[in-house]
Amino acid sequence: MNNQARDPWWAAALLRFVDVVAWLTPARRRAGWKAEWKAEVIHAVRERRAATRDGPEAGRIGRWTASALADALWLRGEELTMERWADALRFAGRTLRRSPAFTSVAVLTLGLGIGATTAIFSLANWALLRPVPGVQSPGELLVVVPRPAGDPTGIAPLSDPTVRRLMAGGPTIAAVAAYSGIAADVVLGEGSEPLRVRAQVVTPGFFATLGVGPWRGRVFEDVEGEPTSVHAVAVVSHDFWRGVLSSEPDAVGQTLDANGSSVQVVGIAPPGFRGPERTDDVALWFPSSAVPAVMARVPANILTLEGVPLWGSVVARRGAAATTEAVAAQLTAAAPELARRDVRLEITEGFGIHPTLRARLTDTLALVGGLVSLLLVLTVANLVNLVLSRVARRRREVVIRKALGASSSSITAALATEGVVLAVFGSVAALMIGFGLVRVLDGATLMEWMPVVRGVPLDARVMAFALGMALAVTATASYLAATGVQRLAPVDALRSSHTATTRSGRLRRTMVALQVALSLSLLVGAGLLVQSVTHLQGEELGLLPTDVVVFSLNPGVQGYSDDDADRLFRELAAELDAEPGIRSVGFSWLMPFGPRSYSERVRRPDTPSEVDEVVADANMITPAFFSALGIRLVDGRTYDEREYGQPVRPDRGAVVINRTLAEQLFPDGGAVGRNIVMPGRRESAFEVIGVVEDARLKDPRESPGPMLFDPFGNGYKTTSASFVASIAGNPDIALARIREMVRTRDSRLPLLEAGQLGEIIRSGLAEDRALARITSSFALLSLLLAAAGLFALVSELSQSRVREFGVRRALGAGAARLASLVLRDSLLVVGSGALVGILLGYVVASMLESRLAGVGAVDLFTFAAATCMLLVVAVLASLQPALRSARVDPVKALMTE
Amino acid sequence: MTQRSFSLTLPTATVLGALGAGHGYGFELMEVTGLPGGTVYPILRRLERQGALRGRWEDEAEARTAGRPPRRYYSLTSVGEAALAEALERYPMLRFLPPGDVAPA
Repeated sequence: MNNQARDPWWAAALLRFVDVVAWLTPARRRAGWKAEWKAEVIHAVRERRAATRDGPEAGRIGRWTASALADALWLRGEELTMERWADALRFAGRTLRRSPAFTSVAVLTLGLGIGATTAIFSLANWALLRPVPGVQSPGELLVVVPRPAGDPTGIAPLSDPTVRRLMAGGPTIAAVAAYSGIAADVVLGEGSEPLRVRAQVVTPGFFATLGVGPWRGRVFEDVEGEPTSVHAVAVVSHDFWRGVLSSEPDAVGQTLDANGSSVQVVGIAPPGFRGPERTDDVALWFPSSAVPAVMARVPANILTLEGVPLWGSVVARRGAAATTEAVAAQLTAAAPELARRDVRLEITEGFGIHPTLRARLTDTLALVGGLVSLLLVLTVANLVNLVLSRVARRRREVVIRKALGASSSSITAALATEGVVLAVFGSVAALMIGFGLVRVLDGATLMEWMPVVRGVPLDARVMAFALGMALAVTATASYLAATGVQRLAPVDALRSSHTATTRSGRLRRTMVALQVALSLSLLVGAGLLVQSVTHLQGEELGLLPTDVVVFSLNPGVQGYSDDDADRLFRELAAELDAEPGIRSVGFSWLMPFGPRSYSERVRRPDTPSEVDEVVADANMITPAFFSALGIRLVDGRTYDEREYGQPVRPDRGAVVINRTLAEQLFPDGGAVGRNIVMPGRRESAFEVIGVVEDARLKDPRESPGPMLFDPFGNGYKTTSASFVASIAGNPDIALARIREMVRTRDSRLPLLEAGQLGEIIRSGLAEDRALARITSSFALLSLLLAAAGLFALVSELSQSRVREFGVRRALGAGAARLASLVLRDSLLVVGSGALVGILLGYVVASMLESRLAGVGAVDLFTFAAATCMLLVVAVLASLQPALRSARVDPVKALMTE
Repeated sequence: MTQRSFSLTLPTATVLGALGAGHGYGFELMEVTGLPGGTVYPILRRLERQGALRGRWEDEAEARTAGRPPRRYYSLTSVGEAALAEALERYPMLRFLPPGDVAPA
């Protein structure tokens, strides 16, 4: 007794574990097995206490005890000979066939839950974790990001001399390569349309560092990185060769026109290799000595210039057994000038995704991962519920079989086998649904930064995990239910049918309520996201995106000077303006909803302190910019010939501002005619000549902030412009006409980012739409699962009360009364689930709050709509069992017992 | 023994070796051989069924005075000794298993 009192707490847990595991062993050997294992555990525990030195430790005792499970399973397996397995399987198949409704609901539940989970995880895995195609030993590769001091997200590109110093390396570094993304306009033949593709300039060792060899031809040689002479050569991607070069057999050796230079193709990259990052879709690579040829407006001797930024991304392959820290130390020591310029090298593992993108994606992925896990929980809950309800319904059958002489182990085995058979069918369904889902997503663009989804393999590990879990859960639930049933005294089992009051009945109600709660919270989340996206795509932007086409020109790439470019823009605008079908044409420096932005500090002249400064988004525009976009003038005027296109006046400029900026600077009103000061500019003051209505021009998710508009070309020269044209009629025809007019002016000029403004806004929201879509499908799926669970529960509850209904019927209760009894039962479960669901929905909503636009987290409409939807589905799911109860024939009902 | 009815795999040989070295019960065999219970116990049961070893429960009264449940001890039979000899011949390293207390009679 004393001994026992002094045993540690975990000893009792281990003994309990042996007790539980013992249920797996065949009954006739159970007692001996249990006694032996328990004695070992107790001995080991006591020895540990008594021993001063070498008694077994707690962890080892735990591990030893855990192996009892394997032993028990072995014993059980020995007991079940092949013949008995075959019998059990045949029996399971027969009973499952006899109840097709149960079988199909269970199989579908498993299939949908696990199929969807696997598909989503596989997709995320493919997009973010799959090895970069073609790259050797990616574990040795380190991502080197040069960060400006004090800016953890900024990038300070390195100069070529610095990268050479890094490449000189040291014992811990096997190779270093650098690359920078550029755009390349490729012209294949005389008079053909220029094609804009993504390209990279790379140091000559780029391919060798990544372990990527040529598929045809060769990759770059060291001499092609020397600053002494220009080597206008390129390696093309396999996709580019197949698509653009039409699988030309003699492609290597040919020349093509890229960014106005003639470039010789020296090699083709292996199939699948699209660049060093998973999200890359690079078509052309140029060596560093080709930089002066393919990058416009860089100094011809850029490769020799210290401190001139060229390389944005650096990758290092570490030497054998070198740690990341050692590589970091060596790289930092190799380029001491970086420390002087306050640049820090951030060196991370996880090659294949840019650290900035990774940071941005973490949130979205966490959200999707949460949804997927929730779905898995729902699937499991539903399955447990289904299996419990099924076994409970067969209580009488079990008792009768037992009375006829079946051993309890054989009954348990039969029921557990049924679970396993179900799980196997479910797995097949899951595989089919998973493959189907991945197939459906093939060719889709999920998010703007991602390449098109292509050939996503179903992730075997995820599938195995999900299936293993389903198998374990189904088998365990069947097993527990079976042993629970057998513990009942036969008399009770034969007499009463009140499953609702038993423990498993309560458990099942809780499970269904849980499902209801989870699916309601998902519905709320989906509802909010869908509303938010709808709102963002709607007309509340303050402009009219429907009949506007946009395109950009960047003749700087083709070597235009600032003045030539300016002339081209103005002449083209005038020409387009005269075109029938085009109402008005304006252009601006920065593209509306484009990736770049620029801001300016602004204050009133009478508030000299920097505290009163406002930071406003700035853009240079032509007057027609406002009319083309439908942005209304609130006060004053826009630019006219006096300001537009004239040289800068040395002392005073003119500026148009938006309503928000006007209100922030001049809260008392009357902004027009007042002066403002921009400390960053040469002019001492600017006169506000007009105020325009607020419009979202940057991110459709953000409400408009303060903005100011300068006349195009005044004060700041640029060779790129974005055109906005308000059109009447078909936008495709208008764009084709515009394309033709641009080509007549200069056939080398590609139309960039051309399209309808509405579509450009929509594609910028691809991530939000994908999230809304995923959440909605998950919500609907979970609603379906909850409905299936509810249906099973209500059918069974009403079945178990059939006698009571018979009596009520005989006593004169009407059909409607009986149906309402069943419905009330179901609504009780749904109602309690819904209450919890509303609370959970609130939690989900507050998690989503930062992503929502135009709809608050506590949106009564969404909550009410989701609850209504749930109730309707709940009633539908309970209707069939309710009606069946209403039709109960009292005579038959009373005879069933 | 020219004929034996069990396969002499390394785990089986190790368990035989451990028994021969005087280790007589489950956890001790697991500790000495480094094999998990899911391997050791099935081997013990098979060897017992094949007559290579005998399992005995510890004397109940003795166990009770020590305030613990009776333990099950295993010892080699003559069949087992022969198998052990064969095992040692085939896996000579088994001789170097640490000796244990011979199980109380």
